[in-house]
Amino acid sequence: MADQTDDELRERLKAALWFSIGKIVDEESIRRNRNATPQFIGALADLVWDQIGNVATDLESFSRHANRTTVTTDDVLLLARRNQDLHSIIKDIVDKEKAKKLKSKAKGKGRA
Amino acid sequence: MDDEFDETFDFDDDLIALTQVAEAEAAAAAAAQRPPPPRPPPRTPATANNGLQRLQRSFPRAPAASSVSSVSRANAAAAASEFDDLPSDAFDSSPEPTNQSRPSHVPPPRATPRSQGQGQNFRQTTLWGSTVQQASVRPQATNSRLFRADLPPEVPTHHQLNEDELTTWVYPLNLGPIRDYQFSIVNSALFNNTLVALPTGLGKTFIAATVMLNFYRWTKRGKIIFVAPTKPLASQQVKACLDVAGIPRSEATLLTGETAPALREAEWKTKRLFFMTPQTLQNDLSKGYADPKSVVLLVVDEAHRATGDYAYVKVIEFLRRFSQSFRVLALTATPGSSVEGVQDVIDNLGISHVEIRTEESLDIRQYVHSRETRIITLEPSDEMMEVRGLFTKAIQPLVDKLSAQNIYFGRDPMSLTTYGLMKSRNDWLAGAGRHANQGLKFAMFAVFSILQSLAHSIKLLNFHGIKPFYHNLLEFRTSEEEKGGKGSNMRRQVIDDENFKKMMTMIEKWIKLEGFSGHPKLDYLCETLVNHFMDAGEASNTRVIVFSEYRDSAEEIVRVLNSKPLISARVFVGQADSKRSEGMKQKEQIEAIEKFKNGQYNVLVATSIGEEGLDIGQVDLIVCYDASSSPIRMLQRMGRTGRKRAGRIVLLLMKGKEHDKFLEAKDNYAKMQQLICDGDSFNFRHDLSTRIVPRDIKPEVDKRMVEIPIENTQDPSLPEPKKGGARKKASKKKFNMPDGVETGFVKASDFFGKASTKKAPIKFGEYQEINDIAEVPPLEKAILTGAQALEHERRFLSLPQNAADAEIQAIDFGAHQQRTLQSTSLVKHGEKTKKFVKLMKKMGDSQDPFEKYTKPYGETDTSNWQGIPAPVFAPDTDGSDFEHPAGTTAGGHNKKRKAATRISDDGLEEEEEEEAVSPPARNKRNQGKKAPKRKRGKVARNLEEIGDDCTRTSDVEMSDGLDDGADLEDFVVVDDDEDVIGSSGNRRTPGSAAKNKRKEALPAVERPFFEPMVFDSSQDTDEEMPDISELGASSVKKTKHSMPVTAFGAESKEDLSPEPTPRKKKRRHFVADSDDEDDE
Repeated sequence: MADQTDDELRERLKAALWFSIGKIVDEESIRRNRNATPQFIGALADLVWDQIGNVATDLESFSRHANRTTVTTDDVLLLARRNQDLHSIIKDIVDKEKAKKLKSKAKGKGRA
Repeated sequence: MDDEFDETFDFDDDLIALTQVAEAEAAAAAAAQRPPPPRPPPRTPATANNGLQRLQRSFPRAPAASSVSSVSRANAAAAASEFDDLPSDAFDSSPEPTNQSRPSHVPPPRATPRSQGQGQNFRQTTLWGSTVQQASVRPQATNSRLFRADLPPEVPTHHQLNEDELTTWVYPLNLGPIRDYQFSIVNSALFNNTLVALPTGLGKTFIAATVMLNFYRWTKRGKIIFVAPTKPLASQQVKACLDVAGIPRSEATLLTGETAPALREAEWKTKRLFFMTPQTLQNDLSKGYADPKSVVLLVVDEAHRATGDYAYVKVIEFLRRFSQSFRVLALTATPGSSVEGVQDVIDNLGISHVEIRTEESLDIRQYVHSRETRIITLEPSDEMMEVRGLFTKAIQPLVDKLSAQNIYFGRDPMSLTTYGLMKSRNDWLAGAGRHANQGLKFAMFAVFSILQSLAHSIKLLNFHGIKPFYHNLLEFRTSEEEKGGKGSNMRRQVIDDENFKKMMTMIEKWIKLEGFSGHPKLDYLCETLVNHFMDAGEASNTRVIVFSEYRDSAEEIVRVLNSKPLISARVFVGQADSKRSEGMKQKEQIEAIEKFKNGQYNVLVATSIGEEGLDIGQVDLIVCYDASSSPIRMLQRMGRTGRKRAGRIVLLLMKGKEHDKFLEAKDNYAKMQQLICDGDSFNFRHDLSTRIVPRDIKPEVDKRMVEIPIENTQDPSLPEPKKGGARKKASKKKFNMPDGVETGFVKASDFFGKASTKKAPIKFGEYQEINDIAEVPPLEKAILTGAQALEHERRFLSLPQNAADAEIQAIDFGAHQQRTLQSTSLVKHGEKTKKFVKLMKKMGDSQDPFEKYTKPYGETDTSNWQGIPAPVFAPDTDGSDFEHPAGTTAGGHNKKRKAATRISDDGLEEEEEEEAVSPPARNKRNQGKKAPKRKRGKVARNLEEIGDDCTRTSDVEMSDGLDDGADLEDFVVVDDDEDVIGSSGNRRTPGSAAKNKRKEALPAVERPFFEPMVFDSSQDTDEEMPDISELGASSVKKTKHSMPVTAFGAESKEDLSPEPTPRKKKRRHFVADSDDEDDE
């Protein structure tokens, strides 16, 4: 791995993304009885790749703005600020996760 | 999520999945950029190392057997024998006998300073190398040993370490072969705060230089400070250090009180190696020039001074407040004269390890030059006895007064001492005198004070000679006489005493005599020195130092010595002025030493200032004119000789008290050394001695010649900062703040309300996301495996064989789809989407109903009409007929028609012209279109009324007009028909096509949704149209298709359809500019 250049690595990661997107699309097309061309999948993968890049830089700047070095769910929520619906969906998930973590922590404490 | 995202996709439920992927990716990306999550030992990111580290912490020296010095080998043996009664496999799973013989668990050598006897603790081994069991013999020292594991884990140093250099420590070989004691001292001084007590002349400076060199290498920016009590001492060390350690001269600087603060400040910013006096350092630290956190090594020379309030103590105290991570190396020849004193030094400097060698120590014996010490005890001379007798009588009345009060009774007045008097005064005050009346008390105090001043005179008489004694008394007398009758009665009583007067006149007479020496010591001294120089011969560069406690006697000695042959003496005293002589400025002192070194003077008569640190190689004889009660000072004095060759020491002592005192001091000192060597009576400050080098790094020794940078040898002067041209003022005092301190004003209320929330935003028990950081998945997990890659290739990368030519119908996201919100399944539309759709809808509303559904707002074929100026054609109405053909043929939208014409006419010309099509030509066509209309009269006017579609008709005419000249409307329909037939003849069955077209065109008005598009694709497949999907083009086509209808309608019924009106309106609106042009 170490001898790989950045570009190579990027290509491999992209391939992995492409592969999983392809699988998702395939599943979905079976479920919906549609067809998707490989070209579409490729284009979609490229689009998602770009979107991920955007999201990553956004999250990074959000966390830096908050004087953090760790990206937290707060940053993700901020990312979804423009879409109220999406925001509330993510918020629900985050809250549930937090509650779960708390519970397991309390449990752990109780045992100890 | 950004809305471009959900606009582009209708797979709304996929979006969530995608978002999650993106989230994970983003988190991974962000996580990759931040440092690895903080774990307790910061230098080992991999968890696997933690266990190892813990092991190492409990047995700090475990695998470093190679770097264990000879010194700690004794400890190794001790440790090994401690484990002896454990079963042999207690630590090793494999029963190899060799493992046991290796000292695998060696404690740091700090806890047990070795005495010489301890080193004899050899192990007896069997033939196979394992230790012989000796359960009964247990070294006592091991019981008190502390293990590292018992201590709290050390905070890692804040200094920037030089990782590459940390693996080794350099032992310079520049000065010749390794001296074992130096090696072992350096080795422990690197990792412990060490107090090094070495007899003088054994290379303390070398040890300091080596330690400095290594810390210089190990840290990137850490500052190294060498403090010595006086400037001459500090400057003496500069050269020695630079020449041994090879630290670039440009990195070093000598800062003393003489250096201007502004310069010092600048030096602190740039240099790394500082030679200073402690007072200067203290100043710089407290003024904030020096950053206490940047100090990594402090070498303290003459460390026995670090007691009480001395600047050494203050400096260390100051540094400790800000930083725990600095090394102290204390150097001295004489650690102290009492256990308490040494403990004081240890406490003040935070010493955790002591390295003491005496001249008898085995490992240094071979390096010590023999020093012959001769103690000369002298009897007082007759003259002295006489003076003493008279003086005794003179002060006897005072002593009697004391005796009357039961103080100090029955003593010989000649044995009075200042200290003894003070002590008995205090005793009397505390005891009998407490209840005495005030008058008596004052009387007693007066007696005491007079006797105290006279006691000093007695001391001078006894130990230093008659002359200093006389001067002292003369002073006493004159000061009294100056006061006239107002002085103390008792003083007068002494002065007026018959015996006193007699004594004074007697001494006066003696002093006037030639060759009067005044003291047997002086005679003996002269004799000794003359003999010494006679023995050495003229040419020898031998030097002599004479130590005397008082400046008076020192000056007397110089006077006497200079009257002797072969001797040129110089006094060497401190800076303070005395009553009868000026002190020596530092410059003079340095000059005196310089001259002494190069032989202008061969005798230096020094007071205590010459005792410490002076490194003058050729001093072969030391004469102590008086004995100091302090063993430290005696030893320091002796240390001035025997540095490079054997030396001789002559002690001149008066029989009786002085001799006794000396013996006592010597005895004390020997006892002291023993105690310090044992080390049991001291508490070492292990808590203050951080290792600085991370525990898991064990530097190995690297013995090599150190390259001395050329700059060090080139410039022999001291690296003092040059006085800059523009003298800047020293900047304001900066305050050094401890870490994490809050500065500024804080309201009292904040302590209760805000402060608590500020400090503890983390409520206890609440889940903290930060504490629960997701691990970054390994790269291997993210990347496709071989099988997956294959599948990927098969499923998504390679197209099925027929897929390449399989026609996929393009989906047109018509403009109308942007004007309503499409349905969503999981995530509703975002704000941005809604706004966009609203905007598009609004824009669409203002559009022509015809175009509304097919064209995005504003995109028409005429959009760039305005952009292109065509002034050439506008006025040229006559030639327009001839120019039009080019213009019309140029118009891309007329190509079809043109092609149809071509088919019917087979005109080669047009074809050629058509080749020359250029898009900007549209404008010409348009202008050309209108100009002829006017000319053509009714038809043109007619057409104009109908609207632009009619202009198109005229277009057609024009293009045809090339063929037919002025035939106009008659041919319009025919032409059109022909055209339609002709063009459709290419594609479909002729005849029906025209009919079809009209049928299709009509409904297109009512139900304009998809037909135009169908037209587009079918119509354009065989044409050379530039772009199918170009919406502007499609709109043109639409108008084209509706054109026959209007043309038809215009001929049959003018009021056929309501459409033309709005269309015309719109056209006008758009072509307003070009219309103006046309009007010209």
